[in-house]
Amino acid sequence: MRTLLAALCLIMAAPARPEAAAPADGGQVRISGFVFEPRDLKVRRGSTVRWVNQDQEPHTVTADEGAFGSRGLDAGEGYAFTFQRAGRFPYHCALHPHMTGTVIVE
Amino acid sequence: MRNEKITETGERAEGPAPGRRGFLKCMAWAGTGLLWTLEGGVLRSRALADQGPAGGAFRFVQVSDTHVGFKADANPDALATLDRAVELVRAAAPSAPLLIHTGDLSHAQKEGAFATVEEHLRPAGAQEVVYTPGEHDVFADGGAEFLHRFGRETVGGRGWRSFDAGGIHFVGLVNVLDYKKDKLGSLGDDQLAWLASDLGGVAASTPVVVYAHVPLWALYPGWGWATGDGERALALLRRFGSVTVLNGHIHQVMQKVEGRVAFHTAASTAFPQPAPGQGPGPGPVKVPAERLGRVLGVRTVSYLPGSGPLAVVDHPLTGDVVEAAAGAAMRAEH
Repeated sequence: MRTLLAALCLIMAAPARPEAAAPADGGQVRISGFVFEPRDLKVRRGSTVRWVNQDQEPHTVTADEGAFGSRGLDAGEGYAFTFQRAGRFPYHCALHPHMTGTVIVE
Repeated sequence: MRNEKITETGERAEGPAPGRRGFLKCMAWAGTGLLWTLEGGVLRSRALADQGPAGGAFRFVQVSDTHVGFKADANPDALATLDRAVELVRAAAPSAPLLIHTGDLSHAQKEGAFATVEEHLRPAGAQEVVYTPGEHDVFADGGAEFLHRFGRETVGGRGWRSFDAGGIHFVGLVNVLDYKKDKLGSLGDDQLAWLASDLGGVAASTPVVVYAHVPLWALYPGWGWATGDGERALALLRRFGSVTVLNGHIHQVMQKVEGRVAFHTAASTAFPQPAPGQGPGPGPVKVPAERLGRVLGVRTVSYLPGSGPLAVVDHPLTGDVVEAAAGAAMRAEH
């Protein structure tokens, strides 16, 4: 609860970029309208991030450097990955490479 | 416009007047029942009737974006529309010497989709069927399954190839194996080096047909509708008198002429996509069920040796002209 309050305080204190909130223990990314939402997600090391495809079109979650990668996700399907290393992990959709996002692990 | 060609006797004939022989060839075209119209500076043609090609003409078929495995609102049965497309091919180009599939055979590389496509194309009766991959066919395994099945006769088993048929030099390119690099299709140095040496042995008077999945020209880079190094391929093609570039990927008919290079993107047999930049992304567009056949189609391309440009005809599954997905809505506003 204390963590949550602290996180809330940080979110409220954060100036303009809601995606740059304090790292969370896990995260969820919606794939909707050809966009990863949030586009940048900050999580703690050891966190599991889950992506869910809400488009009718299949998408993938494919790390630019190959650290992780889903198969083709149909409508409603999801993919999860646990981040054990700190760092920036840019990724894209292999079917629509203009769709990009980043997981920042702290 | 200068008209330059090598005559049968090997003399170089120049000048705007094709002469009696050329006129007879034109008449041969008229006999095929093609209606030529000029739309937005692009010469378009369509068949008035399902007649065979004029005597001596070589007519081949392009089928694209069959997306076997697709099942969503935009088309609940993509196999049924593929079958209708095949019936159309059989009527428009019976026993065609060649059928080219320009990629996205499968929808997200569904298991068994490649075999299904082969099986459903068989009744088209084409004497030869060639495939080039779309990103949906290779993204999951880097092309291993596709190339294992369809890459046998390609250069080093890597998917690209050239061959001669009907007096045309055909070049099949692969621009989806490194799709992520600059968020565009890409040919890569190896393939471009091969292309340069392949074209080096072809006379400039030979008509060239280039086919690939992603458009070779910068159609809409924001959605990946372009080939990053496509310009390098086009530079190698500019010395030819007639170049026809056939692409798929964008699920709609678009044409552009640049000098002696004509670009044609094809309709899908599965579902239409939006006009470039219309909406959030290049997803399937749902049209009323009764309009679906009007936005899907196949293409025939005819060449009469020694005549002018190739005749490209897009055949919708229903109606006379392949329509844009948003066409009716746009018209309804007026």
